[in-house]
Amino acid sequence: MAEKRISVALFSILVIFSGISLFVGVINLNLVSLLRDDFEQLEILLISRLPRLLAILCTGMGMSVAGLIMQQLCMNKFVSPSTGATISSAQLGILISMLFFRGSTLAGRTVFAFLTAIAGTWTFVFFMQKIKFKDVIMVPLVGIMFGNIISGVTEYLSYKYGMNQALSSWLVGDFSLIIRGRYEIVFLILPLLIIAFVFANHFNIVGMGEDFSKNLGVNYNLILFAGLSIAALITASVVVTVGSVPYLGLIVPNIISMFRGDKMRGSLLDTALFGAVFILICDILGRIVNYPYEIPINLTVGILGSLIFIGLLFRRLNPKAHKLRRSPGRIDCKRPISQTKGGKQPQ
Amino acid sequence: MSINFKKILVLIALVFTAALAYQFVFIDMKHFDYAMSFRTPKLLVMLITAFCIGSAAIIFQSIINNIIVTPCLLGMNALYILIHTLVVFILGSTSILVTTKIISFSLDLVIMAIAALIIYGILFKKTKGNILYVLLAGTVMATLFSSITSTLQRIMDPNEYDTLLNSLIASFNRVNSDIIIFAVIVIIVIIFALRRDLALLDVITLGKDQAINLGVDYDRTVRRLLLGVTLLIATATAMVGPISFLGLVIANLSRQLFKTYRHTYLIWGSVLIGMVVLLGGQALIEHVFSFSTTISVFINVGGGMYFLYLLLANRRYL
Repeated sequence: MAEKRISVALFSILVIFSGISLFVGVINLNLVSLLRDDFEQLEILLISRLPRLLAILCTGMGMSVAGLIMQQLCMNKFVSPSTGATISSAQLGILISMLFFRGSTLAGRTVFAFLTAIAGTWTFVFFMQKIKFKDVIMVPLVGIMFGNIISGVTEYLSYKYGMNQALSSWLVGDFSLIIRGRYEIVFLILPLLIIAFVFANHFNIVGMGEDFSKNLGVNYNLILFAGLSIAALITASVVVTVGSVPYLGLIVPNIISMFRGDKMRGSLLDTALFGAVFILICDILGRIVNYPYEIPINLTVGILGSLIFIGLLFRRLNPKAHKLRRSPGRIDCKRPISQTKGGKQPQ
Repeated sequence: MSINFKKILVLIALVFTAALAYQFVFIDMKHFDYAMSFRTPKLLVMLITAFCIGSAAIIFQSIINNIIVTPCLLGMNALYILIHTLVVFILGSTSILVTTKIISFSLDLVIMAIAALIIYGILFKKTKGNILYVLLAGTVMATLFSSITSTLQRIMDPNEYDTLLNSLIASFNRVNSDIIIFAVIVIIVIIFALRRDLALLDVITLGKDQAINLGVDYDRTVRRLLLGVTLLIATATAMVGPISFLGLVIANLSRQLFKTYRHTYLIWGSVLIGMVVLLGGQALIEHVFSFSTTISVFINVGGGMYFLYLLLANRRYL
């Protein structure tokens, strides 16, 4: 029952903030004139505010679920689209499509971003599997550096061909340019989320290792690469429409797994909801702080996200202080970071 | 004459060649003075930068006893840029503390010293010296600092942003040459103040217990050296902007070349290699690639790969 209560609470918070989000902006919308069929107000709602809200929700849900899938499959709590080279590969793909197919449409760029994101993530995970690090921290470190190298190549190409400015809109995540007709690609995330939910148990099994999954009759390599591809596709759709949003896929699954454990069926819904709430609050903050201007989501999430991440890291290093506070009965012995259950509430 | 001393001499010769090549190749004799007015400050700035980054990287690596970590990887240069932005943001671009470059630079240095000691003190304490955690937290901190910086730049008045852009976004193609003399003075003062601590570096490398056993006031020495590192990095960043991987590359090349634990050789080696890399690289970019790219991109891509190599090659000892 307690688990359901978390989901319900998250869902109601999400609904409330979604409502707020619709009415925050330079042009004042009010409910009364909307109900009176004020055409102008309705247009603003339908062309700008609603698409923005939908893009935010899809981004939040998508990125956090992508992170959750990658963490489960790689058996490492520090892997995510931003620490696994997925985001930087997608950016490189967009640049390539802009360079070689000058008149490329949004669809063309999306296809390229899909391809490179999948290739980048596969390469990274392939090496991780080959090398088998003893220390869990090595994986994100290598991932970050791998991502840096790919971004360096992107930077070199864009500088050389004078595409710096054009590319910057895919490097910096920003919701302010989202209007009707320009963002619909994020809806690709929804079917991917459903697939992820259906295969959640498979991902869990694959996360327990190759031998274990063979034992249970799950095709390890197939599920591993299918899962990674789903995560990469979700990330690429976000990068193409919104730009890069760092740390979301890293932090949200970690916070949720403190409360819900590692069973993906159980935590997937909460992860998606909490991701959406988190990014929605960040976006509203970014719109209010410097009103009437905006701070891109990339920066608000970057600041809050990195602070939370460093906090998680320090918690992980000093688990003893938190063990005392853990409520008895729900012991999770799989990984140290999920032992820190019973800590502070999210937000 | 030891073999290492010979290597140093060879490096010095290389630096001279690179400097001459950078300064005089493809020069149009008709506009000699004009060309010199561009090339001389840049040459000086690159030499100073190589000195700062090369020595800071070796000192830092020896303090924390690890060869894959450098101050820039832990976000020290991002911290400096954040502090400079914050100062302009709070005081406004017309304040005398901001308009006079030397005063503004010294103010930055003071704040940087205090902030870095606090932040990195906490970082080392919390992670209990586990180097991988230090690195990961440091990398994330670099993102944090640069996110705050960009946010401030978005919020601030456009006029003030212009001022900031002029004084801050230095790169190798637009060096900040107003503070050359002051920077040299800062460096000399740092080296003079730390001369005793630097001499103790060879002992520090033996580890905390050994060093204390041999009569070194370990904590004080390390704190002073860390302060020196911070100021050196701040100076370099103020002049050419952030370059993350240079320190890592040149410090490790120097360690590979000299294969010694004597810091006199290691530091000079790293400094000289840095000079060769920067001068040679910049000459290539200006004359061969005709500015189609920047040296930071090269250093970041090459340095990133080198870092991955070091990480994978050394993982047994981490």
